Amino acid sequence: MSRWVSLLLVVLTLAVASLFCVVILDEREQAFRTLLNEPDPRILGVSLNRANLTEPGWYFRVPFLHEFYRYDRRNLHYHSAPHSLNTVDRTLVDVDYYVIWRIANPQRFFESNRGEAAALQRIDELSYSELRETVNQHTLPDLLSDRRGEVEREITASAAKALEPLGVEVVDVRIGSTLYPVANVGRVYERMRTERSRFALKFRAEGEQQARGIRSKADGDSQVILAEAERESLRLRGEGDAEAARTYADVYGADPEFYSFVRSLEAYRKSLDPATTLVLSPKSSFLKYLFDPDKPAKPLP
Amino acid sequence: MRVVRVLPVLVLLAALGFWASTGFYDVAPDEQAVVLRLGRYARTVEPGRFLWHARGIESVFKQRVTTTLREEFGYRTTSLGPPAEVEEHPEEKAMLTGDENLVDVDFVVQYRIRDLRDWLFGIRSEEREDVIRDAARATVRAVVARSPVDTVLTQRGPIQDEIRLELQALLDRYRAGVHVQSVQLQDVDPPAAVRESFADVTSAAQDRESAVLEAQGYADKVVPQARGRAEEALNQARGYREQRILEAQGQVARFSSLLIEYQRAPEVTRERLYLETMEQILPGMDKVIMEEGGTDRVVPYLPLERRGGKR
Repeated sequence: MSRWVSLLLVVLTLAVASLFCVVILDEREQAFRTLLNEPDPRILGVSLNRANLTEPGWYFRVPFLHEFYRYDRRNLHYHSAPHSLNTVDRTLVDVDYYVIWRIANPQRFFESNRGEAAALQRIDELSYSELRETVNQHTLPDLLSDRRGEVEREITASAAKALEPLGVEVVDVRIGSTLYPVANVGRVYERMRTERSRFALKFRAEGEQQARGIRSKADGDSQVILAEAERESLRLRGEGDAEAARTYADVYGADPEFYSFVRSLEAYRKSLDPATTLVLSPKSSFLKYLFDPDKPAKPLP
Repeated sequence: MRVVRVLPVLVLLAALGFWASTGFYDVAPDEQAVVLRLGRYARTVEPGRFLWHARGIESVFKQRVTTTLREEFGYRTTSLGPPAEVEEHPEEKAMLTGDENLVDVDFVVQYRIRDLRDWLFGIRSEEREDVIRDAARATVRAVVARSPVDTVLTQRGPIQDEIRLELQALLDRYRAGVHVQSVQLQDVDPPAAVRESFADVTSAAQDRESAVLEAQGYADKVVPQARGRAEEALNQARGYREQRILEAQGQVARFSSLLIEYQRAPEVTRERLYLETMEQILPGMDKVIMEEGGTDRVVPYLPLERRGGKR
């Protein structure tokens, strides 16, 4: 029995002791550990303490000897106030930005800042001066193009370098907005208006140009169509005339004298209307029998 | 004695049983859970009942993951309605485009939790919303800043896609653990002060269209008209040709038959034709018969008054 009781006691003691002697850091946490207020006490050159505990898990603690300073292990956020900055082309822009950062080295972070409030102040100062310096070396069009990413990477890199000694890792610095200061907005609007009216003029002129092109092409096309038709119809008429002439010539050529006779008679019939006064000689062939019925027939003209 | 010997075991077992019974938990169908063992990530748990964890050694973080979350920029929906009520935030709208124009943009980002581990442990939860808002704000402005104003005003689709992809990449870098479902640009307008000028450009573009359409209408009228007239002229010419040819053939046929008759009896036919013609033309006419040479002595005159009277 005494064996069981003692086992039970041992288990209980261990359980209770673990509450005091084990520190659990979960996924959100990391810590800076000191032994007798020393981050790195040594005996004969052998380190007795690991100060930077950046991974989650359980850690050993001797009560009253070890001290744990817990810090956040997650990504943290800082948002700046808007700053008026000069670009290299002397344009004043209002820029704000944010910083994503985390505590990478709890020992350094503890030694240089103690708390986050102080760290944020340092982050504000350092990232702002990096931003100002970088923006001063770039033009506004740089910030308004693909190069904005480059500018941000530059700021991130230099801010990371500046903040690394403080145990801070800069994950990203990114420009939030770039805007003209309120005082300059009126001029910007004026420029925008001018630019727009230029576009409007251009569009209307283009419309006129295209319309004229289309109209004149249509006119030209129809003239060509008409002229071709004219040519073709003249050709057709000529063909008709020629064919007719050939037909006439073929047949009339058989007896030109008779043709002349018949055609003359037809012409008389057509051209001498009842209003004509005809003076006839009694000797004419037509009247040859009128006064001289016995006269033998004489060939007609 | 026997009982006393087993008692500690029983106590231990009872204690163990009690401890074990406290370890059950449920994960609802719209939730997921992450289990940490001694502080370290152990597993992500899908929905289920009577799930068990070792209390004291493991801890469970449950979270609803199916809900779509949204962040609005430039406005806030104060009441879903319908009709929805909206509060404007003009200070969030203004941004600069790549050609240094100002535009006012309202947009909304919709996202949901994709990786619960990152969602819980990637960004400090109190600052998570600020990070997502800031990242979205910066991404939209970065994309707008490299697009000319006309693209921003007219090509929302491609710009939205670009923003969504960039924002997703950015939030993955920050270990936000979210999936960006959509970025929607709601109202994209030029600032009120220059809106009229922009509208004028739009109407100028329409003027251009209508001028072109009008001209095309003219062309569509004039060319067929010309074709019609050409067709007409050709048909007339064709008609003329046929008419001339047929007429000639007719005349010739008539002459040919006459000629045959004439050749059979030239004298008589000639006389007959002549007399027939005279018979036809003479009846209505005034006729004056004069001796041969009479014309030398009498001045021939035309009785104009009578002719006029006859008319």
